[in-house]
Amino acid sequence: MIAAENLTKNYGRTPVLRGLTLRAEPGEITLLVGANGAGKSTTMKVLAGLIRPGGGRATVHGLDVVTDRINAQRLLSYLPQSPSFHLRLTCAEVLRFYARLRGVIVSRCDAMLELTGLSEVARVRTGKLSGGMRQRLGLALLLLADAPVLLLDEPGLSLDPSWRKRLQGTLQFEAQRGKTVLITTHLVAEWNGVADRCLLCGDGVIERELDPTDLPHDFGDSTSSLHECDREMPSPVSVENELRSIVSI
Amino acid sequence: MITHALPRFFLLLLIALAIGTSNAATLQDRINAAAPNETIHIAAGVYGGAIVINKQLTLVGEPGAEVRGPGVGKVITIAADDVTVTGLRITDSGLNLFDDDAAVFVTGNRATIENDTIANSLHGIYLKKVSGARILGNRIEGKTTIAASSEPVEKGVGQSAENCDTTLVENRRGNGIHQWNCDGNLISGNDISETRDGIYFSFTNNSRVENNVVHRTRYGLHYMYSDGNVFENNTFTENAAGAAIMFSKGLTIRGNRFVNNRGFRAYGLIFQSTDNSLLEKNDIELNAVGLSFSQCIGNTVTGNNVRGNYIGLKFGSNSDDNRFSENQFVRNLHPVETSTAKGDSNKWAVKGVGNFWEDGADLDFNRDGIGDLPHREIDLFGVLRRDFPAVAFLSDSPTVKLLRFANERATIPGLSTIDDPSPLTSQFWKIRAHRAARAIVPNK
Amino acid sequence: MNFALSSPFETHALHALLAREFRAALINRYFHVFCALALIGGATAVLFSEDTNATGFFILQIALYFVSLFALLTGVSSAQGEREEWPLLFAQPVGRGAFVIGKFCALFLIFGGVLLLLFLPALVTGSAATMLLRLYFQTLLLAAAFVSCGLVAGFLANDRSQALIIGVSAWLFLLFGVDLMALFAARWPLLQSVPDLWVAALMLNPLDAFRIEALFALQQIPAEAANKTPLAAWWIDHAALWFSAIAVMWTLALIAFSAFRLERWEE
Repeated sequence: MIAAENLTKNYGRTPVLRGLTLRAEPGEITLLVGANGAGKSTTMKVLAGLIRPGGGRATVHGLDVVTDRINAQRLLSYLPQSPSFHLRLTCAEVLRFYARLRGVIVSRCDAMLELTGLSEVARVRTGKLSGGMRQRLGLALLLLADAPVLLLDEPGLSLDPSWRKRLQGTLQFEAQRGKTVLITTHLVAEWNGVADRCLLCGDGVIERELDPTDLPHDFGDSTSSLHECDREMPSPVSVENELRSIVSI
Repeated sequence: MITHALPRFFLLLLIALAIGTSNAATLQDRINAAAPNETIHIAAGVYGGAIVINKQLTLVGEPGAEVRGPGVGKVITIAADDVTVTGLRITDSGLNLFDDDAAVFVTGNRATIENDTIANSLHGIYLKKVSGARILGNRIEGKTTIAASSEPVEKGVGQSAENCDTTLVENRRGNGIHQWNCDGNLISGNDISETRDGIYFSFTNNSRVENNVVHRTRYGLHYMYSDGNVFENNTFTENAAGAAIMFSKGLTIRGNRFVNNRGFRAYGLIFQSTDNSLLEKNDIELNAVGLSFSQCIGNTVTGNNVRGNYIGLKFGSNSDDNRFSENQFVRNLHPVETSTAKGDSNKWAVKGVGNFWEDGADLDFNRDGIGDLPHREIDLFGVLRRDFPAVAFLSDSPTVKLLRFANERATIPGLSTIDDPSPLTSQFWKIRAHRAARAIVPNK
Repeated sequence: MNFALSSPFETHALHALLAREFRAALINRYFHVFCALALIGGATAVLFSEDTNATGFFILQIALYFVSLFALLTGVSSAQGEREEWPLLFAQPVGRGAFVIGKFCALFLIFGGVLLLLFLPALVTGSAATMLLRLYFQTLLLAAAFVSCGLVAGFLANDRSQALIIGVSAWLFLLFGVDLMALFAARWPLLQSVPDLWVAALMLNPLDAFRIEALFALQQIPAEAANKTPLAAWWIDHAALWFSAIAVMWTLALIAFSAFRLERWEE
């Protein structure tokens, strides 16, 4: 569970968060949407322990992300907007590094590569990957630790439609397993019917909650539409079966 | 038991002492009784001094023979010509510098003092107005302590240290071999240590000093007003100054080693007011100041190896017409300390052959071993070295090297320099040896 | 934000960081160039020096100019190498200090190996093994200080070019600037009356302390010639001890500063 109360944050003299309060519950996909500069990414970074709020408090399963950062981080996995990796290391090496860093058994790495369709480029240096592949490697990292809280900052931007759909299926599955999933996105419409809750962020606060089954097609500057990805969408059933096999690793 | 043993012990002691003194009496008596040119063999044992030899004699000490002075005056005085003293251990002279106290005091000509060991004395061998003396293969150890209970010889001898021996300060010690007003002596193969000065020359000309080792003294060679002497293959090491040569001319100093003279303001070799001499192929290494030149005129300094000194060459003012060539200045923290200005008459290259300066540019397009660009050696610290000695901590620093490098290209105003028009490259000696070898092989 | 001191010593995290740095170094072409240069430098020192003392002097010059700079560049490169990855890295449940310590330990071990290449030719052919081994450890400590200096520059800067400017400026300042300032300051009568202060400022610089140690203790060039104050004399007599202490102190201080800087870092 994620709880943020009255978060404030200024960048210089510019206030970005002005008392933002939110909750994201286990077993649910919660969307955090809003225009550019609304404070979505800043909120995610506060929750991930990357920046300190000017005021207020944020907890992950009751652990304060500021005063008990390391323990809070043990419970979460965070996927930044544009994940970068060591350019000279291969996909497999990057995964192995993070697995060792978090004390995860290294054998999960292969399964993650398989899940994200990167097995064939496992020995390719990350510097040679396309944007979409890097995003998928980020997804592999997100799932690697099997953390109970998943934070994704604009996860679908570099993915092609089929992989975006696959990402949604994966996150739905994880939510069903009781994980707390918090996502910021501009591609709001894509999450129609997938997200359990949708919070509209504006001017550094949560302005209101939207109906997750009736999300607008376009939010902010995205031009994508749900219909584009209908053609290559994998069956949700096939994704779920694949995921179930991984959970057992 | 003990009451019976003690009187016997004292009786034996008295007998032994009586034998000792009777030996001394016997030795002087034997000398007095001997005919001129006679050889007196001295058996092992301690013979009391002082001994005076006033006729032409040869004294040959058997192993273990010692002439021990009474602690005042001279131990052996050689007052006649053509005396030889060899194989003796000679000890316990007086300690009065004004009286010229010495283990062997020579006023006769052509004396030979050979293979003697001299210890616990003021001067070792004192040659006064003699010529043709031969001082060969002796071992001279200076007196470094005196018993605290003995009467002070002069004020400033040392500091009291309860009942223990007291250090005899260096200035109050005597010299290893002291010469005054002599001519044509030969000093060869001696080992001199812990004296004030190792070999002392004053108004002594045309002597030859070779193959001696002088160590742990104040000045290894203290040399004044003496002309036409030759020094070859001597080693001066661990002295306050290796050699100080002053107010003299016409010397040849060749193949000597001046090494590890490291004290504060210690020198390998000091040349002061010394003219028209040859300084050739000496090793001047690991000294506080390697070679010091001041007020010297017309000397030739060639083929010397000046290496690893704190200051390689200290070149003072008022030195003119000196010629430096084929010397190597390597790994000296400060290659030169100088106050010379441009335009002096010293020559840093002879017939187009200069010196090797380690930090110089090795540009040599015609491969003759001589650099194509002149070398300018800068004294960056100048008077600062004296005013603020801590500047030594900047020795060999990259900044100093950078400034010296810059000075090679454009003179920094206000700094003293030495300009070598034909600096040698590191390949010079190899190239010359190669050419010499080719010259020897006749052309087919 | 709490500074999780216990985390840097979690063995799995440290293991991961070490393995990654080793891997990154082994596939880094600059690292290969450095290894080759170290070996060439070591061989040149042997070939062009007439005795072991001269070899030591040659290596000393290499250490002073080359090893210090390369250690610094390695630190900068390592810190900046994953600058873009920080959001991902720092979201992991590992204290940020662990990244600094892990990087430093790996680079220290790597330098320990590479510097062997520099000394190997001299050790194989020379006889003064004790002097060379001592110089090896001193050079390694110098490298450690400059790796940490590079890490600070890398962690302080926002991008690689900024990091290089900071790092190389610091190197130039320590190599030339301090001594140049000292040379000018030495002419100031007020400072001449407190030589110990002047010497202290110099001896705090690891490059100066290294040079003094190498020249006077290892090369045995007569330091007695410098009319020293008692404190300055102590410095020269204990130059090895002082250099080791100052190098370790700089290293620890810079690592701590790097960790502090990372801890304060916000995207």
